[in-house]
Amino acid sequence: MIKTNNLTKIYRTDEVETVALNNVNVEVAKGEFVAVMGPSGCGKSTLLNVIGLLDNPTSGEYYFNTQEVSKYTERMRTNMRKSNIGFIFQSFNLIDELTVYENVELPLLYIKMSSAERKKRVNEVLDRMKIAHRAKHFPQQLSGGQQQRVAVARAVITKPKLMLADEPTGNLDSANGEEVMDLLTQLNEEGTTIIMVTHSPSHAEYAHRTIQLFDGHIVTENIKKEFHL
Amino acid sequence: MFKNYLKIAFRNLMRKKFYSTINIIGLSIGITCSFLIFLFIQSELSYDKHYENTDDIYRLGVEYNIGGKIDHYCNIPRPIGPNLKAVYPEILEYTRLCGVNGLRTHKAMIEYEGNKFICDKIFAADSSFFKVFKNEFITGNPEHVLVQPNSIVLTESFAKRVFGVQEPFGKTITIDNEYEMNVIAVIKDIPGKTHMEYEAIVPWNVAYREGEENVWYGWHVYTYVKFPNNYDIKEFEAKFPEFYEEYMSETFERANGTCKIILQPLKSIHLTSDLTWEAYPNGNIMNIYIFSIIAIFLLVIACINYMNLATARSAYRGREVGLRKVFGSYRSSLIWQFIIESIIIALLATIVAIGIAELVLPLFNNLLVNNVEINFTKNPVHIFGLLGLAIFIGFLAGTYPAFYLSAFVPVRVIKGNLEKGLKGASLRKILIVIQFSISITLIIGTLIVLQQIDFAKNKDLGFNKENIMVISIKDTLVDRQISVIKEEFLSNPNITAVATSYNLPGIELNHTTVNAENDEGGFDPVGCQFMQIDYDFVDLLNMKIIEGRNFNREMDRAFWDGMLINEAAIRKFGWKEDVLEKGFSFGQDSEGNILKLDVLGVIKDFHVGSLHSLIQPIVVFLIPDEGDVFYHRHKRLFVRLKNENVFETVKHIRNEWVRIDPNNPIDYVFLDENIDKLYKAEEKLINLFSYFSFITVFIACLGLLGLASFTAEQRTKEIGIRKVLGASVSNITFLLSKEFIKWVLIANIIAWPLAFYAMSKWLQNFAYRIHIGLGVFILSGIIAMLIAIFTVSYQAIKAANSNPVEALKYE
Repeated sequence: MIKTNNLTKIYRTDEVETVALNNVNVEVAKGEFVAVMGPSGCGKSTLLNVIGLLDNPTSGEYYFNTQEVSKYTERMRTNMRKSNIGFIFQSFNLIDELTVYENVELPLLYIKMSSAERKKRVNEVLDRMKIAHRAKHFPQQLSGGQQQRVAVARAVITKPKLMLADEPTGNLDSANGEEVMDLLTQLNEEGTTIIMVTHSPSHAEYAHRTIQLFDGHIVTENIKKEFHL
Repeated sequence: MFKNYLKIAFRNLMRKKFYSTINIIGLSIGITCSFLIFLFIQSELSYDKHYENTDDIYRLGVEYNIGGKIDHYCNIPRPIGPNLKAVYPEILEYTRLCGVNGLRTHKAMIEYEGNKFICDKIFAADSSFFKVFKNEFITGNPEHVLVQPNSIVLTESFAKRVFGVQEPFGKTITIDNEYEMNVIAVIKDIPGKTHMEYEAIVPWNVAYREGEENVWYGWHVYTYVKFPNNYDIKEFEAKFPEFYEEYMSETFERANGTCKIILQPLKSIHLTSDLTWEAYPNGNIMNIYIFSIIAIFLLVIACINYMNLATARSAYRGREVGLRKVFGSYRSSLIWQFIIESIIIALLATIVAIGIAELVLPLFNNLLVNNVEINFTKNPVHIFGLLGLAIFIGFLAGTYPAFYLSAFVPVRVIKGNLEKGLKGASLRKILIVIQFSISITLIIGTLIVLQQIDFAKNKDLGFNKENIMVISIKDTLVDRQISVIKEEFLSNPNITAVATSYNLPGIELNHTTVNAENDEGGFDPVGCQFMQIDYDFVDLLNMKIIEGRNFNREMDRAFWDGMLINEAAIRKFGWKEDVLEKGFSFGQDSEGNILKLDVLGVIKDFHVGSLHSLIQPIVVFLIPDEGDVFYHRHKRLFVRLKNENVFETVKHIRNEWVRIDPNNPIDYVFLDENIDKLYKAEEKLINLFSYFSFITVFIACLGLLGLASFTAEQRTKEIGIRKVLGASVSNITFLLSKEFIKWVLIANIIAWPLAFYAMSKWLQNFAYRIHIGLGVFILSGIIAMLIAIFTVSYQAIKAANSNPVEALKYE
């Protein structure tokens, strides 16, 4: 599903040039659950952003579903992203001014869908995430665990083929963290490809495979579980 | 999606009440002012548009050049109108108008069944009046009105005032106790605004003066002509010189002068004409420009606030932008979202603005001496105008923030890595500087106009204008008893002097051409102004005679016994020495000897008009106690009152006057008030400047307040650290305020030359004016600075007093 060839990302300011990704070659198969680990500043999030089509690489190739997308314009990336990729963030990143329901509904507004269909889909997902009773609440009225469940609900609402999670448990206590990991596992079992950045070795255990990054390079790849296409 | 935008917009408004309030108040004040200005401009542009064939109607004026002195009049000698019509067939109609009591005195007392009404818009007109100015007749036949003597046409509302519910047609009313008039027609009120308002029209015979009808120089009347549709007016202008040659040149050659015709399109008179003897004060196209600029200024300032606060608070919106992008929003839809949000705020501000506008409308009308009205049902254009304005402002204010905010890169904002509004800080500074430059310019303008008016009102005019009551004498019988009245008044110990004159300082004097003696003993015609006064006038006004003597009862018995002149006249006549031996010729006796009017004395220069114009050469003729040779209906009685008991003295005079002239109510003014009226336009300007500078400063301060609060929020951590390291509250307050003070200082640098240039131009309107000193600039700078410090210091002190532990924990 994902294949990169010598993916490089360099950030330049007036005086400093930082190589965030250096000739990274990654391959992720459809339905796979991959964890990305590494110390702070090693390029994990950058890799996730490039894979998530939030950012273009400086050089190298990136194939998403066999399509070379590294030179896509912002508009093309947006189109590709909104129907294929879901995101979960460490800090939940819910919009404070929108209710739980509206936050979850948001991605559907950008793909043409009837309001009846939207309503049905949002209610289903909220039920599934066990937060339907909180639908009319605003994010700041929820606990961290609940907020992340909303964020997961928002990420899955468009039924994306790829889910990118950037330290999804980083801001949660262990119980809530486990709960989120269970949700991700469940999604993966239903066929969603997941790439998750994490600092937690125990949460990385949930993945089929862990990629270790260091200074923009992939240093090791550990296959922990059998994964069959 | 639109619903989603609305929700977000409203929730943002509710969550950030402080900023929302600042934005809405700022925008609503901007919209209120612009809306009112729009109404004013609309009203000013609507004059004289309601008449049929209004494009074909012109008013005739003249430009005289008499002895090198050029004057422009909005009216013309009586015979020009009828003769032009007789000679040129392209003049389809002409009509002349004249106040029933003299050219500008279109005021009369109307009596019906013992009730008296003042009508101050009554004119005599040629019978063709309603052919030029088509009006809707309620009763009466337009073909037959203004033909019979002793008939009168009234407007509907004036007729209602006089007759109430009675049918006016056929009733008889008395005008000024003199003319009995039959109401022959009632017309609908003039449906629009006009520069020449009338409530009653009488036939020309009321204004007819045997000796004046064929005089080609002087004795002016308002004259309007109607040309065929689409007639090229230049063609007519080209023909006038031949008319002048044929009919007028001889008269003007005698006066050492020439005359040109001025054709003024009816529709443009109100805004562009300011000639001598306008029937009513006209508007001024400059006001339209000034007001438009002010409206734009106010809107820009209000929009700047919106832009500043919106971009400053980008940190709060940046995350939303990033997330929307992550979940599939295009930048273009985000741009629209922010523009729509800004339009929503502008619409909310518009609702507030309508409320404010209704509230301040009376004040606004009072300020502009206008009767602008807000009527959404009668004028749907007002609703569309306001809606349009709101959308325009929403666009104007929202576009920059929309582009700015929608440019956030999602990868940065979702990580919480926001610039916290620091990006775009320089633009915000520039915008604040622009706001304050405008504010300071207006403050300087206000102060300079104030200084000039103060200078004008307190300048030594060459006479003492205080405590002088000026009564108009309306009855010739009263006029004949002046000496007795004077004596009676003087018996009151609170009255120190009484004198008469035909002229009222503050009102333009009449012009004449005199044959002034030259050094070779000959006489040259020279244009100058003239006054007519009695023996007591110079002393009453405390004018100074610097050479020769005043009129003297014993020595000067008649007009031809001599005259006075002012210093400016000496300069104009070019007299170097022996002024008292010079004089003017005023004809020849039966033996061919030149009749000479000697100069008896020279009055130190004095101002009769406003300080806009230089002191003109003036010759002063005597009104002797007996045998006044001048024909004039309005002589004035000047009464100097003692400083004490003014109220009682005025009461005494009013009571006396009922006995002296039982037929006419007393009509008086105080000389100082009358002179101060010369600066009415400037007074209006001061009021406007003051209000608008207050408003611009207020809106600018709202913005400053918002930004100060934002800066304090942004620098919470810095403040915390500084306090932990030992900074005092005053250190922090200074730190936070200094930034803003710097911007205001820079604004001064921009505003000073701008204001200096603009106000120097304005002062050129005055022949006598103040010098613009540095003080006024420094004062304005200090005012702006203090206001700015006051505005930001509250936020700064609040931030400085916060607990550093809280600040650091928060971060």
